Amino acid sequence: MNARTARMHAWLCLAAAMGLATWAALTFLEFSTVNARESPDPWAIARQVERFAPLRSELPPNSIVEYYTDIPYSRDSGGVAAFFGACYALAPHLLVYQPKTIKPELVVGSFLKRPDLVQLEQEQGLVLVKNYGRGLMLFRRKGN
Amino acid sequence: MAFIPFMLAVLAGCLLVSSAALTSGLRPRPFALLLELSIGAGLGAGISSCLYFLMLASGLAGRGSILLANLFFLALAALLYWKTRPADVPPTDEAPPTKISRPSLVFAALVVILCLLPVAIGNLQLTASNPHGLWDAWAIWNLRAKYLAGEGEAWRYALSPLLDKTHPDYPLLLSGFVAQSWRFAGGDFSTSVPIAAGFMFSAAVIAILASVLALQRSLGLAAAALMVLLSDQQFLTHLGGQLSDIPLGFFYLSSIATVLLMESTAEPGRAMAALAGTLAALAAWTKDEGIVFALVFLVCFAALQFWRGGVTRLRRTVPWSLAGALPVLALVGIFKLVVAPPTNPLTSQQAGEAATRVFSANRVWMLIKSLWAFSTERGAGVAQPWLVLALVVAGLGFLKSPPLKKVIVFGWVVLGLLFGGYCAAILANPTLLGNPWVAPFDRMFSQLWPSFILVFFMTLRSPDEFFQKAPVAVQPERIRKRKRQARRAPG
Repeated sequence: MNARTARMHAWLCLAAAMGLATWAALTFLEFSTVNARESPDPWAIARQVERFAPLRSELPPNSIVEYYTDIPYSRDSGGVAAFFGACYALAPHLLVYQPKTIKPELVVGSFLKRPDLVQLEQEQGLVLVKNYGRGLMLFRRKGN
Repeated sequence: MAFIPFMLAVLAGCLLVSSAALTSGLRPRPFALLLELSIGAGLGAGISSCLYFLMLASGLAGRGSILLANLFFLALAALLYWKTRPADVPPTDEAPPTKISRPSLVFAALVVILCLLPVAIGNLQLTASNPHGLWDAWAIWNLRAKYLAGEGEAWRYALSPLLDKTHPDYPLLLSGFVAQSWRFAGGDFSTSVPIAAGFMFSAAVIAILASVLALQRSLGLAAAALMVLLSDQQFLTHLGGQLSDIPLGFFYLSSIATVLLMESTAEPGRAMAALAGTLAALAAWTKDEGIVFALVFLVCFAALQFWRGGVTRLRRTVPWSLAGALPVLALVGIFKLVVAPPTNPLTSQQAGEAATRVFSANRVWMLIKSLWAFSTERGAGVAQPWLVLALVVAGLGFLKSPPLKKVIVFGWVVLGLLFGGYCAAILANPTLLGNPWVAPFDRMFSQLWPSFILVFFMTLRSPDEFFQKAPVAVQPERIRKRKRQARRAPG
């Protein structure tokens, strides 16, 4: 391959590579634009932070609180995201789910459906302390 | 207010890198400065994070002590800079000015406009729509940063075994650096801090790759490397995701780049060796994978020194790299062995079980299939990063005798062993392989991608060779006449 052909070959290859790289960059730009418009914050973390803010500020400093919910703890149901979102929103308080070693006195309830408070008290020993609205409640464990 | 310790740490890091005279005499100077700034920013963040953890552990992490510690760090860096700078750096006029050709400039400008700009805008949009970051950012790194920034003893929650669903044993570089600023701001968990930290590491990775290649080889090659780097969609998504994978990739890249620059000087400075050691060790403070990297890097660095200059060179540089690495590695060692709960399923199993998993043919086949799937699904349709890379290689070709051949071999060995370590860890881990919700391959590629490109591009010919006009042979008038006659002649 003489110098001119080699130069042409290099230019063509680099031009093709730049075309593909530009395509990739523009695809990413399109993805982020669509994402921002159609599904911003897919796990609703900003909403969780706002929802939990009043409860977070009323808890005693550095509390360990248990998490109680009617959402199944699985990725598909969104239960895992809801739990970690609640952890993040309540930090630096420590939120624990079905702990084996401790039974925290305070329990945070996060519900999709209106819970039966009488049943919760009888079956789980949870006494309502405050209802914060939007399915968020603080309970105290009976017997503590 | 939150950004005062942040900025102090970054400034201190930049002074430390400057005092190591990493780029002395290298041209073009703007790239040398960009490189020092980029490595310095990450170095400062890393050291500051270590200091913050020590303050937390000793019960001294108040606002005043955070400010004092970072001021002390800055003063120390300034002192080192003042002591070493004039002696190490030759006057800048000694180096011949580097001429950048016009086509190179146009090529680089096109890459910036067509590739870098859309990526930057895209990442700003992703950040604006996900201010708390991607899943791992709010479920692991920023969550733990909130504990570390909490009042009193709340920081211990970041290491609590009760956090077993979110890796309380992970190292704390990114979380600690963010937490320090949050704590300094009086517990205001503003998302601007992790966003700024994430963007700082992302920008630094891009800048280091471009500036090392521009300084060592040519601007055209640097632009071609950026083109390949930015064609990986997963990597681009991680850039603004506030994850620890980009900082980890930063420490891999910056330590290899430091060795590359160090070995291109006739007399490698001790400060450079110490810098390389510190950067590698900070990888271990960033994520578990970094521990493997730090160990592999230090062993390979010693081997490289021996290969290049025998025992004399080994004795001159290796103690300094260890001096840079050991304080951070000691902190990581104490953290992993004493402080952090043993919740990692990889390390809490019997050696026999792990070996059985590693040597299971089924699992190896699953690993190969996963690697193939993840490595071929990183682009946008036909715009796959491997295809972009293949086109660049087809166009430029490899150098017959690349400069710094031994350092390039060093880079390949480090990355190869690290990749082998990743594969062994994935095979041995009972929870990773086959779990659709866990993405070790996705993250692994993002961590290794910038370093791989740096080492790979050091072996390629530069586009600048092809940008220069090919010499046009001046044919004597007689030959041209003869040719014209021959064309006119019948038959």
